[in-house]
Amino acid sequence: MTIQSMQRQMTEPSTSVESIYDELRALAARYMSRERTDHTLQPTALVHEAYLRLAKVDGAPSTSRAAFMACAATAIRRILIDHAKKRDALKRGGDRRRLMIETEHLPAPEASLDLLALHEQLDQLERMDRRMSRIVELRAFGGLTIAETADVLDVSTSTVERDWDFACSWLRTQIARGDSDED
Amino acid sequence: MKTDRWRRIQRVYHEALTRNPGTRHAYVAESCRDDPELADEVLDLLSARNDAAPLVGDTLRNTAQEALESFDHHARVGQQVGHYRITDVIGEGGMAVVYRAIRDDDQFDQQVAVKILKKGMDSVQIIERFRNERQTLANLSHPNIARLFDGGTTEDDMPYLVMEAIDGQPIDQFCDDRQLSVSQRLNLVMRVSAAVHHAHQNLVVHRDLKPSNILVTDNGQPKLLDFGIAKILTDNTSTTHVTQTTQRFMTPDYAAPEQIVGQPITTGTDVYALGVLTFQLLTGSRPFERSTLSQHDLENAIVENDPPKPSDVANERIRRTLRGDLDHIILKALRKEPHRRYTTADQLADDLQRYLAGLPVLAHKDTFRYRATKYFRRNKVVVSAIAAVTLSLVVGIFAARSQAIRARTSEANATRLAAAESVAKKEAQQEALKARRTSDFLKRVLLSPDPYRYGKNYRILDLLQSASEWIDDETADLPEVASEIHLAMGIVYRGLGEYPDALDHLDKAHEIRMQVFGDSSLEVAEAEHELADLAYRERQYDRAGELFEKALRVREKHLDPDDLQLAATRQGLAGIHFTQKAFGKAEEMFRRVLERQGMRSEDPSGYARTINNLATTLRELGRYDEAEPLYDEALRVRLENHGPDHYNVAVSLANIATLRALQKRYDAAAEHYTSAVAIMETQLDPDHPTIAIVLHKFGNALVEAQRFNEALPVLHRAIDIEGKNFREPHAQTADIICLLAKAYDALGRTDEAIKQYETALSIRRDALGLDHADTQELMDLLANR
Repeated sequence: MTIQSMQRQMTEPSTSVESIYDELRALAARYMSRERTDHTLQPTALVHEAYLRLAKVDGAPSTSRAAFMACAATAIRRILIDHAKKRDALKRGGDRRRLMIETEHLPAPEASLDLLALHEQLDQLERMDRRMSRIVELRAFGGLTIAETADVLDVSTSTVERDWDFACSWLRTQIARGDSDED
Repeated sequence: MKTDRWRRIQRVYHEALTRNPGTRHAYVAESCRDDPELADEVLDLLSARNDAAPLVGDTLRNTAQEALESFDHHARVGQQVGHYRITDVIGEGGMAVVYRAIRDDDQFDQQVAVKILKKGMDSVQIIERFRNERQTLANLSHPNIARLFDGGTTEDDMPYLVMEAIDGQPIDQFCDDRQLSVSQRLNLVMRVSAAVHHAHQNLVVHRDLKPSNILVTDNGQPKLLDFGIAKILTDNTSTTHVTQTTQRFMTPDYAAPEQIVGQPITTGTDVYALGVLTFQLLTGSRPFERSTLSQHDLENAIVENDPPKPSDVANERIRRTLRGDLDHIILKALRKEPHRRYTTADQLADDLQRYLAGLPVLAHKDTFRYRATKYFRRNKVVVSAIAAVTLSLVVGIFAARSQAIRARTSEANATRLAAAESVAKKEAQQEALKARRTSDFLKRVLLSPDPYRYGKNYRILDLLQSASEWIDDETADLPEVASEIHLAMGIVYRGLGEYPDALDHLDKAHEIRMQVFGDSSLEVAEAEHELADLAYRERQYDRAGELFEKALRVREKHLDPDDLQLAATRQGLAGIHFTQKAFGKAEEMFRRVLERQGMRSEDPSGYARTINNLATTLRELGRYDEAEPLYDEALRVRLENHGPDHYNVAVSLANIATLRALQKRYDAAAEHYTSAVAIMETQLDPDHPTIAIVLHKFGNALVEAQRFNEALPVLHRAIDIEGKNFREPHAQTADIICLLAKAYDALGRTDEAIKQYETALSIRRDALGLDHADTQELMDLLANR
């Protein structure tokens, strides 16, 4: 899987998203190679560091901080969805009898959130309520706090809180409904 | 596009949240009266809000981390590592990723597994552990352990191992997919155990045995993987660290109690995991299941709770197979205390081998009942007993019927000779047929185990079990024979301690005899006597008493006063009276038993038991002077019959000691108690609970005699034994501790006394409850100090 092929999957490539995407990937790799046992890689840290680096390179960021945050969150969402799709494909086509299986230490897939389902539901949410879906994207994928999210979208923190609360409940009902439909 | 409906749902949702949770439902229903569907949607959302599932955001963050890591793993595909080229990601563990690779120099088309440390995991300690695994595997060479080929560091300085690639399935999936039989599964466990034993001999403890680390190849070869958290027993340099990091990666599903509480890891830790594995492969579940417990409760259960018997968990089909030996073997591997498990994995394998070969298994060795059971099982006398009972019966029926037929034939001769002759002939043929079928049945029972396969020690229990299934079919037209066989089998099962099976057979015998012989027949009385004996052993004293009394009435009416069976029923009934503390009735009954002529010479141990029991009854009634000569007589008979070292001699001595203590003849009491304990220690397990009981009485006598200094070691030893026998605190232990406290108090060692009283108090609180009078008494006592 190469970066080019990931980029091909983006429906509307935008230069800022692409550059942020590259930067995030590179940052992630550097994070991983650092000698630290307590490595907990948070999207938040990535996004902030990417922002600082891009700002330094260009002297001043070509885009506003708010736009940057929005792009970063979108980029991370794409990275994750892409990963989930790949994994899903592996699961479906994958041979159950693999050579060595040592995956018990990872969060079990059924216990964690179904990323692809979430992705689809977020798309649907966006059609009904764009602001609410952006809030979810920023909070969940960008790791932004309520205050940062409010700042980026230029709304009040109480609006973010209310929308975030409602969106979480709504996504849960939608994803649960999807599960039971399959049966 | 925000619709009005979407806005309205949100408005009602947020408004409902401002209300008291109890009134939310009513509020939603009220405000959406015009649109019940909308009300449902809001209620769904509200209940989703209370869902226990983790927040969307939290889960995503974890997934994000995982995804980013996984990019790194995939980035290695195509890379060159040593002589190998990575072709694929196979899987990942806590600290490393495993790749499939091929040798790149075209010399061999060999597939290998390359395990590379994860980025971010390359701390000094973890690198040390990786080296540890390399070193560990290099020392191990066993067909059932994945082989190490090579190792080194990648271009970006990550250590890696090159290992044998194993194309296989986790052992549990392998067994299920191929629907392996119990013995096939046990064979796999034995080979895994042999591999683990090989590691142990090289001072390596695996510490993380579980199905995903044991793959079975297509040709049925199990392979042990992942010595990543293995411990080299002589190496104690980084033990603490390893334990800490281990906990992060280890699932508790297969963990031994010592791993959870952080106590030292030994080879017994792997034996425990093998026990869990065997349990799972045979029953389909683990002794403690995560699905029903939270992680915390699971860990608690592993440390605190007794595992269930595998046979109680398994499905109906194999329950019988597991009951007995396999239960014992698995539970021995699962003991909480590492030293009480199999000492080595090899011993576990051996015991499974013994089980498969039908030999007595070691797992039973430490229980008394087992020794008795195995004695009976090995003892051919039991076989002969069944054979004799049934054979004599067959012969008896045959003889009786033939006589009747002959008589009838001669009668017929006088009158209608020709016709009668053919009838008689037919009857005789039929009887002969029945008799032959009964003896065929017997032959089949006795010859069913293949001696070439099972050797001399074939197991009576298995034989009985298969016989049980045939009895009714084979003897459908011979109810007397069926009842006799059921009775014999019930008695044998009872002797083996298999009470539910014993009850099945005795009940059947009783039922048949009620129909065939009637309620007040000697045959029914016989079945009732045996049922009473069983009830007594199962501590159902009321039922046992009723059955003995009913049998006694019939036997007294029909049998000679000196009859052995009559005496047996009286003996049984006397025992019930004694157990129920009806000492007057017990005395009378014991004396009636002793009335039987010639008892002392015919049945000396029965005689000794009866007078011993009579003496104890009199002692309970306070008639010490009458008890004394009887105890002495019992001791004399036992010494004559069994010699000085027999367990029953010790029982007599202990009884005499207790009588002396009651008579305040403390020197004699101490002397007898000492002898009794000395004999018991040679005849029983030195930590047998009976010894604690005798020591308790001994200590009590010493305290009464005001010989406090002597009482201390005796009581400490008693408490020590109790501790080894009862996992739960036991009220009886608290009594001993109180006695010890009293002794300390009398010696002026107040601090120790209070400490003991406090221990006793906490045991009583747990065992009896806070409101129990004994608990209250101790609380008062401590409050007033």
